[in-house]
Amino acid sequence: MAKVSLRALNERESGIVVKIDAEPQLRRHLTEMGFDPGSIITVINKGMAGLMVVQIKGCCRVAVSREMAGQIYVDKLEEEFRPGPCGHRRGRRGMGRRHRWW
Amino acid sequence: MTGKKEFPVFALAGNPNTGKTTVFNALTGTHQKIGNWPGATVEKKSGRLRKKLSGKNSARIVDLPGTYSLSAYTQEELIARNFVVEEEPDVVVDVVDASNLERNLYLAVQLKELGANLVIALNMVDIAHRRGYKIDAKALSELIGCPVVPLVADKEEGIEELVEVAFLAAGGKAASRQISVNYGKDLEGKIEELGERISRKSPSAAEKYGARWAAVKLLEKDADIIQKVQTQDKGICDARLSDFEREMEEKTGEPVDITIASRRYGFINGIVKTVIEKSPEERIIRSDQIDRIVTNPLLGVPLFLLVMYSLFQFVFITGEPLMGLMEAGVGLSGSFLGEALSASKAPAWFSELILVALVDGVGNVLIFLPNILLLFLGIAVLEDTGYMARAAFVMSRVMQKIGLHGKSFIPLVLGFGCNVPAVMAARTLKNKDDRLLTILVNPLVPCAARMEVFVFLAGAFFAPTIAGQVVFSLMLLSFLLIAAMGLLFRRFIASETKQPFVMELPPYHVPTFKGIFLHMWQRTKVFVQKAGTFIFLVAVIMWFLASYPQGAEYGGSESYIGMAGHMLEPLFQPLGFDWKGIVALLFGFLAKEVVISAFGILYSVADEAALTDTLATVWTPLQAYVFMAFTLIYVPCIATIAVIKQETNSWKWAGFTIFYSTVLAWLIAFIVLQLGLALGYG
Repeated sequence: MAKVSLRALNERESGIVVKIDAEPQLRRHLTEMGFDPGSIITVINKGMAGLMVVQIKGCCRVAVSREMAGQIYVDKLEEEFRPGPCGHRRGRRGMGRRHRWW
Repeated sequence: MTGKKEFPVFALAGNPNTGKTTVFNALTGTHQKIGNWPGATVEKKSGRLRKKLSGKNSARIVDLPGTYSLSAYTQEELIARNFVVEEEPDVVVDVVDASNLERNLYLAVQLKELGANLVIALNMVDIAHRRGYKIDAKALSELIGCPVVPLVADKEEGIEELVEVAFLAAGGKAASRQISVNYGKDLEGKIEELGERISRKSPSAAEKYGARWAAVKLLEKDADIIQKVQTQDKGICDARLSDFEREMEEKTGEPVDITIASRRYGFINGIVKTVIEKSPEERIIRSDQIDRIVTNPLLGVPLFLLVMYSLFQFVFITGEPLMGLMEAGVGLSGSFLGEALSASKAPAWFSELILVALVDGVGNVLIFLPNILLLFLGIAVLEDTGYMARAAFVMSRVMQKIGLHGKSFIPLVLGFGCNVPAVMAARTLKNKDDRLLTILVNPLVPCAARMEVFVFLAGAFFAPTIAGQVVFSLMLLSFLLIAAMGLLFRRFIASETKQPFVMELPPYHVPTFKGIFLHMWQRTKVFVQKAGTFIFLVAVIMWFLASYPQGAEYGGSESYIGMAGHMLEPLFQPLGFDWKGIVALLFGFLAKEVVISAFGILYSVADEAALTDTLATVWTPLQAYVFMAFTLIYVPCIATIAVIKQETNSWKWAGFTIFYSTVLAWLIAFIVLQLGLALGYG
């Protein structure tokens, strides 16, 4: 496991939050928002000018700027997040019908 | 504020994007009051519980700002916390997004720690179920120590049960027990020690917040609590405390406040593992696929511009005929009123006052009402679908460069229509500094009324081939000034340092008709009520200044306003404005398009064509351009001032806007004049 900034992660790669290198107030705000040490972050989209959309707490999507991503350090996980095609779950267990997205 | 309350008070708390507003709407229907929290630029909503739901009882519902925690990081968090502590609502209903349980419970745990009488509204259980979550609400209720009511607020499912449980909780009849997060041996020892000291030395803080809670907050370095405890116990944050904190940091490798937050999440994780019986496998959801396009480097910005363009077209094209109708209506009622007044033998001054203040003043603003309504409709749709968050994301880089927030872009664009709804649109910004800055620079965007003045003057003084370019140059000037002022205000007014961009993107969502309608209705109502009374007042004052002393011609040299024009002449000498120009600008305060009709009065010419000829003989094109530049920047109209006062909740910022815009207008006009002279125009 290597400690890198969130910026170094590519789409669909995950990491475990190790440290947030920001002024105390912001650091706590991010921690409380769900970037607490030990939780898993997954990069969903890497978009405009380094802005990225990440998944935290297994569900919620958060947009972070390039500067912000540079201040969040993670242990990169080797296993890649490999989602199935939209609307299908990997194993297609349980309900097989397509899901409404909203 | 204790004492006997007529009705129980239910406060609604919750993270942003949990459907809190939908729950609020379902509870209150249209019985809502919208305002600001005292001394804050944060929207406050409250209302009475709908009769249909309340039966014999009634309750007051207060919607707290959406927050992630109660740490006083933002003004919203402090407001929510203070309300719970000081106003002691009978019940706090925490609206929790069922598919995002872990993060949402963080606030719930904090509310429990604070000693709130909590009820959890587990919202959007249908979506969570579709996504593959299965949540045991009963187990959750037992573990978190408060009632949990599953809900689909969109469809008003579970609302009745929620009300029932809230009334039970208010009567102390709901299952509730204390919970306590274990912060670990070292911290618990310190918390106990600090707690004892607080009970002993700062009894009022201990009584208000609870000694344990205050002790935890001291360790979390909560500035507000530290200050409150220190008023009674100066030495609380002594060397021993900082030594302890240093020791802990060496031991755990992270600051104490982070450890505390992590432990809280650890506690929640334990709960979540038990109550979520089944969770979906992670996957890319449809929202992510849409975001791939919406936030794409190449497509994002054009798409955003297209959305803005459509909004703009929608508002001003659909609004046009409606505005015509309003105009006709106002004109008709004006002439009707005039006839009625002359028939009633009311004194001449009275009829004149009513006609000028009511018809010209208030009526002129009412004409914009259809546009305002449509604009709020469009914004409500953009907000409720979730696109607004993406728009902010797409624009954040550009806007940050000029000291503003990604979301500031929308209010700025709307300013081209009318600054009044644009200033109100700044409500979509949740951070108070971002909102204030957006409001302050907004009057620099030339509204349709100012464009009218520009088009008229440019047409009168410049050849048709270059008139368009003249107006365009004024637009460029406006952009430059917005950027410059944005940076300047960010530097000197905004107390918070520029924050890196972090924002939650809610999944896309088909909005409900009711939600959108209420959204639009509330904002329009606020505009009409608050702005209306103020505009009427100023219109009365303007009328008085223009018609008195007795016998003076309306707006003439002998009227008070004319005298003011003469008096101000030396100040405007360097810009080359005579008293007539100044009086026209003073009238412009009422509404910017009045500047032209004021010239008509001052030069006693009736139609615009004749006015063009007259003006061309007294002004050079350079002077006209200087006048336009001044009109662009100086004091926004009263409606805008009224709405700035209302939105910032302070006369200070309304006054500041008048002051800075006038000074800036003078400076820029002076520079333009000197440049023009140096280049040989004039």
